[in-house]
Amino acid sequence: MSTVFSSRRRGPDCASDLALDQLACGEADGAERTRLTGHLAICETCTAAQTALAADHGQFLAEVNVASLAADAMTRAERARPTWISRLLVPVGLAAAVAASMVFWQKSDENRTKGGFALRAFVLHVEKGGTVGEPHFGELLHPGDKLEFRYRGDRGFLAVVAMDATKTVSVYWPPGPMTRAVPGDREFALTTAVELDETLGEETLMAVTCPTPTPVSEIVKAVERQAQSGEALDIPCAVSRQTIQKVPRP
Amino acid sequence: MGRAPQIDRKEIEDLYKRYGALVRRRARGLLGDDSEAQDAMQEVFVRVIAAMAEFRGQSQPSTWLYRITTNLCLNRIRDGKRRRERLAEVARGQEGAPLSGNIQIPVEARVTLRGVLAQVPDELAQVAIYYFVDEMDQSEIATLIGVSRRTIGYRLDRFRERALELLGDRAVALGPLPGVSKGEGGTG
Repeated sequence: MSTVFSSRRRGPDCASDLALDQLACGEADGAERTRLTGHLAICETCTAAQTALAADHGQFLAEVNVASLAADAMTRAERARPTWISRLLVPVGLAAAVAASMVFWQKSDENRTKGGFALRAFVLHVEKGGTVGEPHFGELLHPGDKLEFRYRGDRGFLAVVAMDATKTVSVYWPPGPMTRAVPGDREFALTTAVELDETLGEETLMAVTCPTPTPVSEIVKAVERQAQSGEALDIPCAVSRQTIQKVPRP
Repeated sequence: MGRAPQIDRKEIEDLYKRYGALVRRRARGLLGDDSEAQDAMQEVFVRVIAAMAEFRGQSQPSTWLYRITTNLCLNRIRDGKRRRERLAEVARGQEGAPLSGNIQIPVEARVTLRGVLAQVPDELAQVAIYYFVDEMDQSEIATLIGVSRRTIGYRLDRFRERALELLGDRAVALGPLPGVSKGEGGTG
């Protein structure tokens, strides 16, 4: 089959950059370390790749001031904390005790936007006695975490569904059988919080906006068909996606 | 999941020394722009600080950083403005910055891959990045993102199909897919 992207340069036994990075960082376990070092002894391609990674590491350390970078990152992390809280307390309108445990999950430049609308997710972390949780874009949420959504975009009839790692499609919003009208002139808070279940792995959240009222069951079926085909949704609705990763609580 | 109560600046500096090059290289490879890569690297480390308790618990922090950096960069690629630029790149067939600072991807593939990434669903784009840019095999990718190897093969197949649709003759001209001989080319 003629196909796309003959970009992979290494042989079938060769190491990926991740494997080489893990070897360099001391993260490769015993068997993998033995395999990699043995392969590097006989593979010029991987040795060259390893050398290039090491050179890049050296160049990085020569170019940057890690103290400044660390200070900047710590300052930004600290500044972001009250911003997330303040952006949540009023618009979401939850009780203060609950709101105190909420964080703004994604900054605006990280929202998945397609077709002129965006779905913003808020994460309510439930552990650690109501301490403020942390935003995790697309990563490392846990069973029991709660999500709230806000919609901003074109007027339409919206449903929010999710497909988990087992390909099971769940309806997150609205609670009724039909898509619900959302305004096009302001941000709109979806009123139902969703608690993440125990299914671990990748989960894709989808905001599906249709031009007319549509049975949510039709949207679920379309999403299931799309999972099989890999093509676009075969219903006349726009979709915005976000991917999260659910992992066990540490 | 709350903020780690004690984060020492020296600890963060050590993380930069150990992982900063990895994150910057990966961001530069995906975004094709030094300035953006630097900004993305900082954003990744902000997230590391915000999730320090979890980061400390990772047996393989580089894997965690790969995922975070991939998602962040993919979002930036697919951001509206950048998306338009990438599509224009594809339309013009012009050379863009390398898709990876380390990997010698043919010029046309660099440009077209980034353009296609802007147009396919997340789950296909992520797998394509790990496979074509990072040169991971399907088993590595499956472990990294927590799905089956069969799912990875399926997503790669879907990505190729979408790329062929989007690129037409330019895609076919890029030649056979490496790894087919060891069963990397198809679903499975």
